[in-house]
Amino acid sequence: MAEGHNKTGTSHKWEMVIDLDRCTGCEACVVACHAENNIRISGEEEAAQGRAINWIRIERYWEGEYPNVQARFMPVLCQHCDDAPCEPVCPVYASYHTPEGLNAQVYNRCIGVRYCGNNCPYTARQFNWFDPTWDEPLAEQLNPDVTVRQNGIMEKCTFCVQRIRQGKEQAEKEGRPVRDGDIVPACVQSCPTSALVFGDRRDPESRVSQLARQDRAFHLLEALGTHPAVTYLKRIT
Amino acid sequence: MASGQANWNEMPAINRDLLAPLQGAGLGYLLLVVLLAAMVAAGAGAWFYQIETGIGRTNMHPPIFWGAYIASFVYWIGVSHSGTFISGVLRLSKAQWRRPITRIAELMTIISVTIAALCVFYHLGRVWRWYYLIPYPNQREIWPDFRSPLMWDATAVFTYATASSIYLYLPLIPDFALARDRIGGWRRWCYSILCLGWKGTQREWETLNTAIRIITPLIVMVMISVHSIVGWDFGMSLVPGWHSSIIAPYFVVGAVHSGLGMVMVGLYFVRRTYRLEAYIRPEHFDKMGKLLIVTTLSLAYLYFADQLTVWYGNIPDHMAILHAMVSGLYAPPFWTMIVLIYLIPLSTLTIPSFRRWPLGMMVVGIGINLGMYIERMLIIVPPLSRPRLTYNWSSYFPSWGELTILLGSLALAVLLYVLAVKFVPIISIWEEKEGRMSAGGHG
Amino acid sequence: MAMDEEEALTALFPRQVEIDPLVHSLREAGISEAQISIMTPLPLSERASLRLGSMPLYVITIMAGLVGIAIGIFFAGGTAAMYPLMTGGKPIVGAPIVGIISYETMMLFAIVVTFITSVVTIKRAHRGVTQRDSRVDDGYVMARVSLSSTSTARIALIRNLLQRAGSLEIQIESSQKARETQSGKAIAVVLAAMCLIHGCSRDMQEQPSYEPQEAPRLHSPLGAVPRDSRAVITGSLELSMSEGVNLFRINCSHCHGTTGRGNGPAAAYLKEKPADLHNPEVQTLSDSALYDVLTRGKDVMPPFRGELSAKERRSIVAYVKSLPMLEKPANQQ
Repeated sequence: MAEGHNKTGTSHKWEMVIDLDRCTGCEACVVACHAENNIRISGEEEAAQGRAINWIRIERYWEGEYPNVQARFMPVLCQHCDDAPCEPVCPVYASYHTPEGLNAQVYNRCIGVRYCGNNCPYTARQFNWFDPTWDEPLAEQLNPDVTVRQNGIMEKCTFCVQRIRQGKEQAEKEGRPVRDGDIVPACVQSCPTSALVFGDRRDPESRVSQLARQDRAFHLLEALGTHPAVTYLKRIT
Repeated sequence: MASGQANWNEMPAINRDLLAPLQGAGLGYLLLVVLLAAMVAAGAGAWFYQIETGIGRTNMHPPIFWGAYIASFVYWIGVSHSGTFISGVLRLSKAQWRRPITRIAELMTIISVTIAALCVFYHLGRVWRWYYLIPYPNQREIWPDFRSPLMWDATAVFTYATASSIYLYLPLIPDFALARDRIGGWRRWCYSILCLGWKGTQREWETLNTAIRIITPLIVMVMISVHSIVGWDFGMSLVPGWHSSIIAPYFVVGAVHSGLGMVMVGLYFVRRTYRLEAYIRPEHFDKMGKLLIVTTLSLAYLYFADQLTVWYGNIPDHMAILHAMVSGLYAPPFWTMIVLIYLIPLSTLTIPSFRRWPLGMMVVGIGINLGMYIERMLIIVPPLSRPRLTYNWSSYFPSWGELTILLGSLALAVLLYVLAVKFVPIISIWEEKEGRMSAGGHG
Repeated sequence: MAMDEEEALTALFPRQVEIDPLVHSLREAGISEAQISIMTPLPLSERASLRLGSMPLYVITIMAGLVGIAIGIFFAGGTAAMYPLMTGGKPIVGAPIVGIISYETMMLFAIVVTFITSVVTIKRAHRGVTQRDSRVDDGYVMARVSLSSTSTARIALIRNLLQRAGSLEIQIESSQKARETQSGKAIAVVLAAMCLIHGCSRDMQEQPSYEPQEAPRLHSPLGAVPRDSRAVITGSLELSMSEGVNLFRINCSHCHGTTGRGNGPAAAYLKEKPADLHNPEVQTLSDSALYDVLTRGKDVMPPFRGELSAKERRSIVAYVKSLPMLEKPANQQ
């Protein structure tokens, strides 16, 4: 894997910021992720069983009693934790931490033990319970940069690692460092309110770094000490 | 010495009685074999269907990624501790009453470990890639991750299976020699290989005794580590309800508890079917019952200590699970379990005359095993169904496919046992003779 | 395991025989310990401290255990250190983990090696003995005295001693070459059965998604252009220059550039740059040579046989030859 560098010459650390004040719960990110990452179509029956695969989902909670009910929602995806509890429990190294801070899932190594799925406190991991099928000609819209997973394999958000690699290769081809905003995962790209921001945390000037330094910043389930790479900004309106 | 001489005179009768189960197969036996084989075939068919179409044939779904297969795996490993406990621990403590029971229990051990391994295969998503778990040098330059508790599991269960096979086989050598001389047919060929040409010279006996004396404490230590490691599959995770430091001893004691219950079932049926009332006597049930009281009380103590801290600590993530089990969705199986593994044994086994009643003891044994299976399911499902992010709460019950496969594996266990009785003397003949040799006896 | 020609005396004794005085008397008659075997259905003594030569068996167990620990350290620590992969912030080599794995491998090796040693010892312990009366299991005791190069007088003496001790039968055991039982065959059968060849499954090697430049598959929707001919022309089969222009634009310009200068968008990614088709080296090639390059490919350039029909390839050759004379790029023709 090409080791890209940012302006300061160190390797990257990819992180994301989610501004809950801006999120409207429209689920454009969910749809974009499906399209980009060849996520299988689960169908009604499987969705009813709880097996609909979503690498990013909008979690919705109701607060209060009628008529003072309020919906709270937040996007939850793989947090790419620095101390990911899902990584050491995989017996075959199908899940490991890349030097750039991504929690990588190696599809052709996974044998489907599913310990990682249990150990993720965010329930961010998904499993392929069946082989995927697309009626023709839907197969023609599959992204060739992303492996189509067969049954028996765990999968989850990869921070669109194919776009990260493409961005780094493009920068290397052009002989320049990766700029902030070059690499945009599908969810970030499609968010109408720019609630999702992605970038290199090692670059102190990147938008991600600036946003993550705000007072409103918090992490999900921080007390567990997983050190996630996704920072949420508290909703105040 | 007169008593010794009288005991040596019994030997032809002992040989005849204890080789009798190996000879002949009645209609009832054949019907049983056919029935069990049909159940095994149904289970195998369901399993191949699952491999073809996917693990989706089960009812598992996020957040409940582990279900009945893992519960069965834990359960069968637990049952397998029966043999090692009775053979090993009782041999170490020089308890003479173990002698008719050791072989029944050891057979149960080795069969249970096999079924447990099978349950792991049922559970794998890509079972045809199971060999990624084996540490071998390969061109991809990748090894399995020994940081995973599942690899500790794999190592421990492999060690335990190997050690149990050895521990079953060693005391069988003189019995195979005996059987070779008295049983004909294709079995004679097997026995003559397996008995290593045993002659019974004093050096051979000393070798056998030395090997058993060395391996016994080792295998007891392995036994304790195996189910601790299985417990650490859960203990090492962050799931509330799993992350408990008492889980290792709790699992070990639970394993011995269910194993002893299963041995009582085996004792009853062997005794009844082959009319071995002279060898498996009420005193054996009595002593097993006393052991069961110890395990019941220990298990209750460990469980109470575990749940007391949860209840008093009142941490929401953990209390959600305790609530679900005590008064919520999982209350019926929870209270059934409490009755089966704690209340019934404590109320019946403390009565001395009950302990000497084989049928009653067998029923209590079945109840304990049912209860322990429910307990394994309750360890796995409620904690997984109540994750920290409450949006993802869910519930689970095994599907028809899972139940067929698991029933098929239970049928396989019984079938293997039933077939083994025709191949292996079900009571250790030379150890039984040795026990009767003198009133004082020696271990 | 073949046996030397040997004779032995075997004697069957009733259950209440006194063994120790018999052995003592035999020793006094000059028979060595190694020549005497007493076969019983139960061990006569509780002794369980076997020595192989001068080494007790438990020393072998301990040594095997140490080897097991080393192997456990290699697996749990060595493999992780050799191929370090970060997982979950845990140390690459963790002491508790190495401890657990080494504990199990220590036990495994200790038990297995002890077992194998005892199996070998058992087989060697009765190496000379060919016969065993099955009445031993009924409680009789059988004594065997091997007689290698013993005089007839001594044999008679031994007979006497055995009879005095109360033997019921005395027989000469004449040796036959005893062949090793079929254990070797059995092991071979088991090993052969274990060589189940695992099918090399091609999981995920064939992807349903379309690779760039992959031809459409058989199920193309209605209205798609059939593969056999890119040129949708009616009537004459003569492919005109305009066909060459179109085909060049579709198939060649991404590497060779719209003007054929070798500066197409893909060229930046290639180490070996596409040829500049205006270059005299290319232009002086014969039609057939150019056709051959197009058909069979060259270096990084893929072969277009199968992709393009022969007529299509000829028209591209015609276009390439005409390149130096053209002013406008291919997409503006």
